[in-house]
Amino acid sequence: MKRIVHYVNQFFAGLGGEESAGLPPGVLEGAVGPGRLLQTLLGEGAGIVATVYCGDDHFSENEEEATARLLDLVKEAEPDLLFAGPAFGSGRYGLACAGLCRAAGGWPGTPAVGAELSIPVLTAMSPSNPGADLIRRDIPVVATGESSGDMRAVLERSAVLIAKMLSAEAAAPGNEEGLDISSTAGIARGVAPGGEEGLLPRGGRWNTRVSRRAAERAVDLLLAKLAGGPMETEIPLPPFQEIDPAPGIRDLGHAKVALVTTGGLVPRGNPDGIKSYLSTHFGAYHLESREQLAADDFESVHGGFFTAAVNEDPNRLIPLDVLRDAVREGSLGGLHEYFYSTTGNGTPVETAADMARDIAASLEEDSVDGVILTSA
Amino acid sequence: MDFELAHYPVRSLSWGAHTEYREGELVVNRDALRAELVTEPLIDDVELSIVVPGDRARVLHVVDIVEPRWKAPENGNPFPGSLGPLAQCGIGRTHALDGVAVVTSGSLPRSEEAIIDMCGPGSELSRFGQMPGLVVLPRAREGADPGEFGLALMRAGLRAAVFLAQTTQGVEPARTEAFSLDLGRNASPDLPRVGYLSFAYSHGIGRQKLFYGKSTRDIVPSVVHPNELLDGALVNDGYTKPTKNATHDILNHPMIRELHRRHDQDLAFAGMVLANHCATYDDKAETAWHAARLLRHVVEADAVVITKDGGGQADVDLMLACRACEEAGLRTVLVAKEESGGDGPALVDVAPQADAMVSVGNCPEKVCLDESMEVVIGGDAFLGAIQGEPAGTVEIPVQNIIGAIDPIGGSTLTARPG
Repeated sequence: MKRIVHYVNQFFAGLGGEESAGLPPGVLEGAVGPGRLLQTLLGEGAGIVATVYCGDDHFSENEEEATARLLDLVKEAEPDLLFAGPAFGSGRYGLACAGLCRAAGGWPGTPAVGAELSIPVLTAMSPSNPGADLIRRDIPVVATGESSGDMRAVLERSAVLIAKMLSAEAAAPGNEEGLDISSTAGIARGVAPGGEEGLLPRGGRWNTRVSRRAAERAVDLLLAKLAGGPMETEIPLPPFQEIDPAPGIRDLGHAKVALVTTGGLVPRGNPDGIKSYLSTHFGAYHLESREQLAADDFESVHGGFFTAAVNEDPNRLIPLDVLRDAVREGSLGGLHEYFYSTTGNGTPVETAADMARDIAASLEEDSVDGVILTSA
Repeated sequence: MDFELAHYPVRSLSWGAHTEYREGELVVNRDALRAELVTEPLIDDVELSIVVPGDRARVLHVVDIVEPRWKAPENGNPFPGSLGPLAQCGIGRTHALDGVAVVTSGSLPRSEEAIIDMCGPGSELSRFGQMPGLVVLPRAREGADPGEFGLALMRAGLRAAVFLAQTTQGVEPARTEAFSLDLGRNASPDLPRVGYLSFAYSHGIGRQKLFYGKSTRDIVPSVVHPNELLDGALVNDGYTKPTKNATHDILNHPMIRELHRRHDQDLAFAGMVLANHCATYDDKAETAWHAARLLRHVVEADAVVITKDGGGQADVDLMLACRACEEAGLRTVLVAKEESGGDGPALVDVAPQADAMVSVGNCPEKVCLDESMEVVIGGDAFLGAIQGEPAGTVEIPVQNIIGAIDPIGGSTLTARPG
């Protein structure tokens, strides 16, 4: 018989409501509360050997310590799988389930990054629970409603998934349709997001094997498109957005201009750790009294173009030298004291737009009239 | 005259006293091959290894992979322009050693990591992990220009491929396969005429395809016969891997083969255009326009499949070509690899007309290669940002396993939301 440890909060452990939310971690023998129904649904192949619990407030106020203590209790029960929840829409309970699951393991064979144990884990909560966002990339989460009204349905789906995760196939390699090849390898084998058990999607796009080669699928898709019947693209188009250009600057002689680049120019040593590919953040660098950008002080960390010309003379990417001249001559009113930089190399449009909104807000705050945007 | 491939399947690859092919067993005299390869002036010496499926072996710094090919001298040579003198490809009989790979390895300027695993999950992800390989690891003559040495390394791979396939001279093939030259004209007139637009990586030495030995950097879109690509006209000079196609892929071109297979079944394969990935937007737009013009008015296609051969910049070509073709009245399907790092979209450029795309996988997604290796060939550390022991467990973007992401559609990998 496979051994399961179940995690619940004080309420579902039957130890009281809000007044008991400060309870420290503890353990009860066998199945308790919703665990009893889960045990019935699991049948004889798997047994809940222990129920560990913690008060919701206690966990959120002492997360590190409570996680460590709960992990010890989980370890003592020597489980093959940890099930946490269902937490439904309860935020504190959901965060506790998420924290414990992340520390205990992940998908079968693939513990979450930084996990201390490596047992398969499963939890259940609503998609809007803050705990769900925290772990949905690394931990299988059964989607629930906001309240415990659908307890039975959630546990039924959880029981099916637990059985799959504990079965031998869950660890066996294979090439069948739908096999997930990512490092979250356990996902395959029938425990995949979007399946009928309603696991939350992890977000993003993930590699999968299908039965037919891409060349064959492409020709099929083309013939379907020609025939004018239904067809399904494998890469849906993102929504298109029309962006109205800002009105032009009429009097450059009184305008303050800022320099922004996606060419990855940073102070040497890259103090902010701007990534060379799939960049997620930007840096703001003070120009100080520099007349130009010296090759000794700046470099490009862009991973998608030949950076030698920029590294030889950074003004080729951020043209500080000629803009200082323009200000001196009076053809330009002034230069913003910072330049902004990130790497435009494979960054998804949404991430780039997030960075741009932050940069634009700070430029607006500093009364900048215009931007010279340079790219690699 | 049609193009005919004579197939010689390889079941085993080993060293021996005489280089010969007999009933599926390919035996190679290592010294004779080495002597052949050091004729290249910039190559000082060459290390040769054999890897076979199931070996606890990993090859690092893969530059190219070539299928052994041989042609009777009166028919030309297997890699005209790139190795031998100019001769017409795609006519007459060419010998092919099936299911074996010549793998060149080398660490060249700005090269990116490309590996082959012969066991474990890495071998399941690439066809090159599932066939025996002869690994050619040349050492450069002192003072050799790295770019020129890269070309010498490319020629070494081609030369080794010819050396191996020469063994089939006078041997009866296991089977032959004919590819018609008379595309389009011999198919039923009711079938839709499908064309193919193939982009080739073309950014100069070490990052380009050669067309009859000429850099594709400066070509204009050209109508070529698909059989020319199946027969050595297009060769990979590329150490900036990993998601550009190897010569082995092109010689077995999955898209061209698929269109041939269905010719006169549910479509008429009308022909193809070869184009390059230019460096500037204006040139890309011009290329797209010319490609659409040729497909519409010379190839006379009703619809076109478009594949690319590179990363983000290549998405721009894909989208411009899609728009140009759709505007010329051609229905299009695009084949693309994705670079989705998080929740964001998968391509760096999109056109509203690109409503039918096929994904060959998401490049940056990591896979865990947890098989420990006894032999590591080609280097003692991974290139670039990949962390890990070359002989041990490593988490590696799937794109660095050469062959896992196949831009011309030869693999079953795809990406889905999940």
